[in-house]
Amino acid sequence: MLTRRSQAKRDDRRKEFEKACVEHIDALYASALKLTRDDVRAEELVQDTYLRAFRASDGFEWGTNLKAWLFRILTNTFINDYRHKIHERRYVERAAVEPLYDEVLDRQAREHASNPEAAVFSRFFQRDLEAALDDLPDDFRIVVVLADLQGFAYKEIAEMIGCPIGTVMSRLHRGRRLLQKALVDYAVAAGLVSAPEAAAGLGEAAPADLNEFRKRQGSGA
Amino acid sequence: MNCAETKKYLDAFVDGELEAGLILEVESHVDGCASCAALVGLKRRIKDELFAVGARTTAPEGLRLRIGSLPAKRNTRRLITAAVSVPLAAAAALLLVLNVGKAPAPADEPLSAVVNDVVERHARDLPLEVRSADPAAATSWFQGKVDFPVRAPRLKLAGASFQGARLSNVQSAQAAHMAYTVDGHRVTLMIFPVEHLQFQGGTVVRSGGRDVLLGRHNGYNVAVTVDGDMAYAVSSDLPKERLISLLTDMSI
Repeated sequence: MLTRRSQAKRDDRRKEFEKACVEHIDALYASALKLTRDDVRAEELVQDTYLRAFRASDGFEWGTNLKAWLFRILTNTFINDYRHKIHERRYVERAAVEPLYDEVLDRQAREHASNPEAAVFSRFFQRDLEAALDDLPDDFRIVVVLADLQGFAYKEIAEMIGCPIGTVMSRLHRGRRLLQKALVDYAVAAGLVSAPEAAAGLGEAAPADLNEFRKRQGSGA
Repeated sequence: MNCAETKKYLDAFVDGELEAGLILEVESHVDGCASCAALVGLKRRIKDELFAVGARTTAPEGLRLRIGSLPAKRNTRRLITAAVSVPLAAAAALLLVLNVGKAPAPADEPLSAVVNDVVERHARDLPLEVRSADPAAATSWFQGKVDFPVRAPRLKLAGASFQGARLSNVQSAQAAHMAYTVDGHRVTLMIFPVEHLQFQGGTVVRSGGRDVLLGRHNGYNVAVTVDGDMAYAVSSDLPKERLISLLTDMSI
């Protein structure tokens, strides 16, 4: 009788635990979508996360942060089973040019001090930003998703991905610089930042004729 | 604090992670510096827009239902299995009824969501959760993880070897995903309850005492057969004849 009662109590606790877990499904799915960049894989990642969470329910300490615990499982499942190693290579190429973009941003900001963003970035900011996020190498995308989509603290992120806070901060910093750089790229493509200026920052030849063409179009000629 | 020093702290500043003493120093610099102020503005905007992306995304209803039923399925596995079991005769009839009066679909036209799902899973070559050359290892691994009995079939086809398995799904149903190689070609076998088998069109062939449905999507062949309550759907870039013999020869 005693065993049956304690068994029933344990079942109740487990049901309560599983119900609490399911409340975070939207947040987990939103992040899985940004991590995998694919809706089918995002669903699989969330499902794998819940299967692991339910299996490991004994490892969860009541009173600690359930959402952070679930995100640790999600992040680790993604890192171990889903990430594409191939993206890591691109980061090296990009990191070499990123500081120069700061200068472009800087100069644009000085020139348009009253309303810098409006001058520099296209009205498709949201769309451009999501595309830029999709393009980030996995290591950087993971910390940006955790910090910005979900608003986790540096300390929580460090625990989730198992690295020091300093690493979280440096990945976040570099990830955001790549986002900023991509947004400048889009702005150049949209003719909002002058290509010679951006190219000067990059040390590359300017596609002058294309830019002239855009300018003429922009002025209604 | 100059620009270079300030910029080191701007991420922590917009994240609200900067210590109190430094906040004042950063603020006083940013107030008088258009360049740093613009950068703070951009960083804040990126952060706000990304938070909005996270906040407005909701999980698909199908996923929510699947997750919601995971615990119940685990606790009452036997009851549910008994309740949904489809008699063998009904399963066989399903195959025949669906095919009556329908012309075979042209190649590469999606036959159904089932075919698409199976091809999708096969094409992605997802990592396996259990790796073993012995199907029995996968059979025991699946115990308690899905709400139907799974036995990883042994392929009798020459040149076939078992690689491992993972949990998956076909439409909204849980599925056991088995991975094999046959002469160096990857072969994916999905096992799922027959109630989820929805085919339209397609070709049925009779081989080795089994009805086998054939489909094709994105260049991959799919062959499906029913054994008891379970559907066995196999996908590969192998010719359909080999997939048929693979299904009719396997020992379940």
